[in-house]
Amino acid sequence: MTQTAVAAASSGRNALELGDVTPHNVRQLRVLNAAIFPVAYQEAFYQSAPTLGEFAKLAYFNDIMVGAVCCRIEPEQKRLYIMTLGCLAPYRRLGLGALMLQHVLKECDHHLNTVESVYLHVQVGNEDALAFYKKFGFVVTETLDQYYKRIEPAGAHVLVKRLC
Amino acid sequence: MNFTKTESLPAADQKRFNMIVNAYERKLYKKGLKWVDQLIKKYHDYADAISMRGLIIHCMGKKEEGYTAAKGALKIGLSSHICWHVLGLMHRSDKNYVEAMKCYKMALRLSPENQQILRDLCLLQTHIRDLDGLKATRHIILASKPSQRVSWVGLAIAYHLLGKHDVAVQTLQAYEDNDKPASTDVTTYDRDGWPKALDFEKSEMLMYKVQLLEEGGRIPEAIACLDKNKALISDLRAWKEQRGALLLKQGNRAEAEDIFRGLFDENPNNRNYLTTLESCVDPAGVQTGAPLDESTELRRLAFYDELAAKYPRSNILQRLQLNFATGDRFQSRVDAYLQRRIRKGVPTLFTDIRSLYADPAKVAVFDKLIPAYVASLTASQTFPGSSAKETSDVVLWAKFLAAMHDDKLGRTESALKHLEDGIAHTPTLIELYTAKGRVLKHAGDYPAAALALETARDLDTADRYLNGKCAKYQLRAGRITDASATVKFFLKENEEPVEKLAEMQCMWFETERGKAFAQQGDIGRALKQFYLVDKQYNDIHEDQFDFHSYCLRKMTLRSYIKLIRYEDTVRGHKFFFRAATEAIRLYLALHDKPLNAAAEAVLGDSAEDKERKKALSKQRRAQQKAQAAAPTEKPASKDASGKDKKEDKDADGASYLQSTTLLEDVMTFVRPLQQHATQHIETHLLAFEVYFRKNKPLLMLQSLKRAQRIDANNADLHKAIVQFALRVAANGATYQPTVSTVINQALPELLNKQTPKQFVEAYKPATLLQVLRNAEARLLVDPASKSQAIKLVVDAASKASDATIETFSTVQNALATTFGDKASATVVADLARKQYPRATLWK
Ligand SMILES: CC(C)(COP(=O)(O)OP(=O)(O)OC[C@H]1O[C@@H](n2cnc3c(N)ncnc32)[C@H](O)[C@@H]1OP(=O)(O)O)[C@@H](O)C(=O)NCCC(=O)NCCS
Repeated sequence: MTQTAVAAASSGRNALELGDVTPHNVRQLRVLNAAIFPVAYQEAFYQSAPTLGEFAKLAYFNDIMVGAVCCRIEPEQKRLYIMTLGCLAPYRRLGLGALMLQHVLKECDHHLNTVESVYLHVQVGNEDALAFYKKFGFVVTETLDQYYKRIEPAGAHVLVKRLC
Repeated sequence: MNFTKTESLPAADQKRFNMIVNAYERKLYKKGLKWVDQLIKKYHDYADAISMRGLIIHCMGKKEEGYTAAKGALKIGLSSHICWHVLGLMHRSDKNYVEAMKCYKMALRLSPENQQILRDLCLLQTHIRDLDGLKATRHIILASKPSQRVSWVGLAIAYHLLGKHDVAVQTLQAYEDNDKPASTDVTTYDRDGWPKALDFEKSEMLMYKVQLLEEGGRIPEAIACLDKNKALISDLRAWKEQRGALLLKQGNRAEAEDIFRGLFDENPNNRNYLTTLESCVDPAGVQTGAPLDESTELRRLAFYDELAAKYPRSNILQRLQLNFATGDRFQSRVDAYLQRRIRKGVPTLFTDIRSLYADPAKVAVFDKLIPAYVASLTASQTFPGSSAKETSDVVLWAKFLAAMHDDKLGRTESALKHLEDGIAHTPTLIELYTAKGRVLKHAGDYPAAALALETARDLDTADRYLNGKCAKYQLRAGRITDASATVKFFLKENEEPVEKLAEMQCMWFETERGKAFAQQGDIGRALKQFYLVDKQYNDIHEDQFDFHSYCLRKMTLRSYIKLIRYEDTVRGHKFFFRAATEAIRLYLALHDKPLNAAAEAVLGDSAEDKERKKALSKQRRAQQKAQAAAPTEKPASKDASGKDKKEDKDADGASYLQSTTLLEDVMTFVRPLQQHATQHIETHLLAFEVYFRKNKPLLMLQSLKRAQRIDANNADLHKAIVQFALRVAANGATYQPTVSTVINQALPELLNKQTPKQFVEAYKPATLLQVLRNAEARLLVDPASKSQAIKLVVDAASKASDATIETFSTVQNALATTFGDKASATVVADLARKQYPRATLWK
């Protein structure tokens, strides 16, 4: 081990960035979700992802795509639903989840008339996710017993954050 | 005479005629056609207009009509220089240079000082490199227009191309002397007291003069010229580079060093600056061949270390020292080098260090360091011996490098394991899939390699490079139709992919496609692809036409000379070389085994042979179809715009197969290689093969001598020499006495003064291919030694740990055909399968 190497190690780049979902890179989203989530998303999900604008983003760590968030607005209920938000396991606790979530929350500010709250489902037992969302002011409003069909445990917490 | 001469028309109509010429020059053909029709309506026998009309419709695609009109015009206007000039332009654009030249010269006889014709003649002469003719024309132009700078510069260039640097310099000098008032305004200022904007053209002319002086060996004068005119040179960096290089040439190392230190300081990643700087400082060290003695190595490293202290971020500085550092010094430096780049995530790292793998000692160092990185990063997320935690992506890049390292050393499974680990860790990193494809390709599993590249391409369909790679891999896997669909991805709708790609000059695509067709036995289509590559090189060559006038006008003289020199060697480029060698091999095979039913009958019933049969009968059908179609050939159909519609009448390349002059046709590919790819031994070996079949002893000899100069130990050369010796022994009596004299003098030299038999026995084969060719040669000199020869080959194959898939395949085929021994061919196939278990060739 040389000295230069030690010195450089502490100065890693660790660049966190967000990027768009496009028809060209949507396959990366598919591969990413398959690695993170136990449920498989439908073709329609990936068809629509590139049309979601700022509510669908990819997260990059040192130029590698390692995370993504996809949400949809539910206009009648005036709320935003986070369909997926996740990071590849080796890249957690680096701030990427926060970067994505904060981006989404900030986008909601531009839609204050149409979006009054943000909500999502977290599988029962997913303590990482619970801790993460609570940190950002989400609260569990109810717990559904039989939410997931093909995975165990089937229960899901509903987490909500009111924006105003 | 009742035809109307332009000179005799009223001024208004003369002007009108000039507008038509102008429209033609600016490619406004429709407009030009409308005007010229109006003029012809007014003056029926107006030859110049009729011929102009011919030229315009010729440009619009109606070539035949164009010629008919132009020739018709000549009948009434035989003494019109315009009519001759126009016909010349038409021939020129159809690349009929000899005819074009004749027409220009006729036109000039009728109008000797016509600048336009003189200029067109110059273009043509430059284009076909009729340099003496060019010189003469340039002299005429200069005599008639001595006040124009281009006249002088044009003449200087002609002399330069002729290699007469002194006269070229004199010519420029004469212009400068005439142009005194302008050339002394070094420090003239405009009315507001600002220095006058530098004259780019003058600057370029001076730099060109320096180049001429340098190439003419007049170094001190070149330096003096630079020094005197510094204030006139607009590109100061070029001035410095040139001056530094000249000083070094002159042996003035101290001053050159100053300059290159300054330049390196401006750009510490410029390889040329660094290497030149080192040659100034330590010429002995730079020139010492590898391996360096220890004191030289230490001295050179000290030089690098000293600079590195000042330029810690210079990549080239860190990289170049790895080439000559050895032992521990190499290890500590390469360790730092690799760690830094793994940490940064540099996907090209392996490509960057690959050349170091030529040295087994360095390979051993890599083999120690790289696995240790992976182990340590996996276990503790740190590099060995360090406590600094790395980020999660670092281990990924370490594995990536480890995979490339293993692949290079033939450890396919370990390489794939690293990549699969990487994919499990970060499945979104596209490089992992391309790397997987590469490893699988090296392992001979082309279908799986193509799948990996498809996965990579799907992850980013906006990446043109990936898409191209994907198509290439599909072709390797024989998926020709899929590959066309893939390349179509990047084309607009309704564009024909293959044609469009040719326009974009994607030569690799045609070459790979050609190889894929050849693999499937579709020789016609394969040849067609290689001809397309050849055509693209023709187009590149044609493209310079526009540059001849452009560069002179813009005075970009140095790049113009570069361009001309580049054009002269363009067929030495590796893309042409690859396509041409493939094409030549196909022609040789075609000559040896004409496509007929008899050839099919010889084939057996194995799966492979059945495939071959299928291919052969396919070709035969194509051949028959083409022959049947030939007599009833329809005239080219035209589309609405009246253009000759491009319809591919020879989609399957049957015309190439039908030719009765295969050994003449093949010269299209042989000749350019002999001219421009002389440094490749294959060029001469393939040329030999052609001449051997044409029975041209002197040309065979010439090719062998050229090959021997490149690599006397080459396996194919060894066999070729023996073939040649035997041919001479058999046919020598029929040679002309002069031919015999030459050959009898040269042959002993080729054979190391041995008999062919001694020559074969004295050969010390080191590689499997050398063993094979040696065995084939043995069989030629002594057919009785067959079983012994076979045994030598099989033995060598069982010990060949680094033989490529291609070599194994060559050996297997040779055993089955040349030696006619299926059993030993099977043995070799088994050996190959053991070494390349994934290779589809032996599945
Ligand atoms: C939940 C998830 C997206 C968090 O992403 P992340 O990039 O690791 O989160 P961040 O690094 O931005 O964390 C921000 C803060 O959230 C909290 N947090 C995140 N993960 C946590 C954990 N496992 N335990 C405790 N707190 C946690 C912390 O306060 C953290 O700040 P800190 O690291 O400075 O202490 C990630 O764990 C994940 O992808 N999980 C799998 C997918 C999933 O379950 N998604 C939720 C359903 S849509």
